[in-house]
Amino acid sequence: MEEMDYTLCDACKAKEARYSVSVVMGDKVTLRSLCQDCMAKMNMTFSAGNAAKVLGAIMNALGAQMPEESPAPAEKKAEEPVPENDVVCENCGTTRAQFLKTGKLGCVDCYTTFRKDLNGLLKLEDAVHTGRKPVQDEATQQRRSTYERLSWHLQAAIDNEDYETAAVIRDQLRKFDREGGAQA
Amino acid sequence: MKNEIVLCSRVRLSRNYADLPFELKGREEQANVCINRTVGALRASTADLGYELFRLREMSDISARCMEECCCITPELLDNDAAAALINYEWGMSVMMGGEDHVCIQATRRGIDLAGASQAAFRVEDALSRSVNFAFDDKLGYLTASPAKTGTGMKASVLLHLPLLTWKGKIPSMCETLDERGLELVGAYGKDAPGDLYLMRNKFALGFPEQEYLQLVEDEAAKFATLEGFRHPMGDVIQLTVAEADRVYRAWGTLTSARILPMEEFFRCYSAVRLGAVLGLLDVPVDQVDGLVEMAHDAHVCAWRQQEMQGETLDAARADRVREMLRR
Repeated sequence: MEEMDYTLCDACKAKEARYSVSVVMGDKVTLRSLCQDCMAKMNMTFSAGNAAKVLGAIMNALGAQMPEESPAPAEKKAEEPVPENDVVCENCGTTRAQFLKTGKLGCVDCYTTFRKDLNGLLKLEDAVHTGRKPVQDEATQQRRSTYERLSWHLQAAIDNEDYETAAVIRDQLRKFDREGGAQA
Repeated sequence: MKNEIVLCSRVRLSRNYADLPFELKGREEQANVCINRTVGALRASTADLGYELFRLREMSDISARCMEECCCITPELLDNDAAAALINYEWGMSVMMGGEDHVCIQATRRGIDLAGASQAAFRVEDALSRSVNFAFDDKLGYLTASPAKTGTGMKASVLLHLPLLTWKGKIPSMCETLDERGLELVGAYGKDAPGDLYLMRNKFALGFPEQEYLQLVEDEAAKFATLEGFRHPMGDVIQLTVAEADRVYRAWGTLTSARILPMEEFFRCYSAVRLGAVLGLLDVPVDQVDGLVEMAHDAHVCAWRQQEMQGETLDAARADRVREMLRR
């Protein structure tokens, strides 16, 4: 039997692993190796939004090629080399390559992750926001956090089909809304 | 004079929640959090003008596309099945949720009135921000999915009808100076500006306060309106050349007689007929001609016939619809 000079995919145990994925659960980080097909499946799960529930994961594409839907022809690869260690947003998993391709950021943390690119794009050295600001006083801040907490709990109760709790929270929100209406 | 050339003014404010990813497409649970939070906050405030909530999933494809054709919602919102919009059509207001940004507050006013549109949008934003926390950075301003909106998160645009400048081929050279001022002129209904309808808007949103962007767009739009020059400085309408007048009357003939009317041809004729209406060559009110644009779009024609249509059947129905509307 010939000696294997590559790692097998952790998921299907059949094909050569080309991607290394760091999975973060709480404060525990595990490293998994995936083949092209399993990586594509995982990307689909991500875009469907299910994986976020389970993983809250960070993806690190370590191979020379980014996970594409279909393998790019050799000539195209030469034209668009993807850096070996792409920068990835730790919060949402958006890679620098994705950001540069689509021009869209994935989450608020991407502003810190891709700061260098944004600097060039928005000329951040000289530009500072001078427009409107959200109201910052303490009462408003407190109001906002209470409102967000209650609406999160309401959603969770509805998702768990716990309609009794949902009704209680809804009443609290209504009371809160009435007070808010008076303030607004 | 300006309202003959400027059809409407629109302000869009993009806002996001810091605890959710920007992209909500395919993220049902987070999209619902975004929608419930926004709807609850608006309903609780005095800025609630009696908005109607539309969830895209609960709407037929034709109704959703009709809303997009009326510019009540953006095309990007249609991409996300889980998105929703609060709309008050009468007031020209919509609050979109789950599009490119979590919340997009849009206010539209007739003619040139960016000040009015922006005040209406700010009122809704103020009401929402009393209850919810929008992602904001002291240096960068409001954080949005697209860096072009980072800062004020505001896009101010005016819809311009520029047939004469387009026919004379002057638009490209006029756009050169716009770029330096941080503005852009783009086709309102497609790249080649069908109907000679253009949107003038700010390209970036960081560095200046909202009022300056609004003023900049309004000033530049007024300049374009003057150069388009439907009227002499004394207020009399200009005389068209024979070739231009021929174009107007032929277009009128097509719109009132055609039995098959593809969208491109409709837009070509609409532009000439509108010019004819503004200059008094044709006995038809400008508002009536403007009403055609919405009604001649695919989904509106399908809704009118109450059936999904394509190809020649759709073009034939469009011709019928346009003739009917011009007979009134």
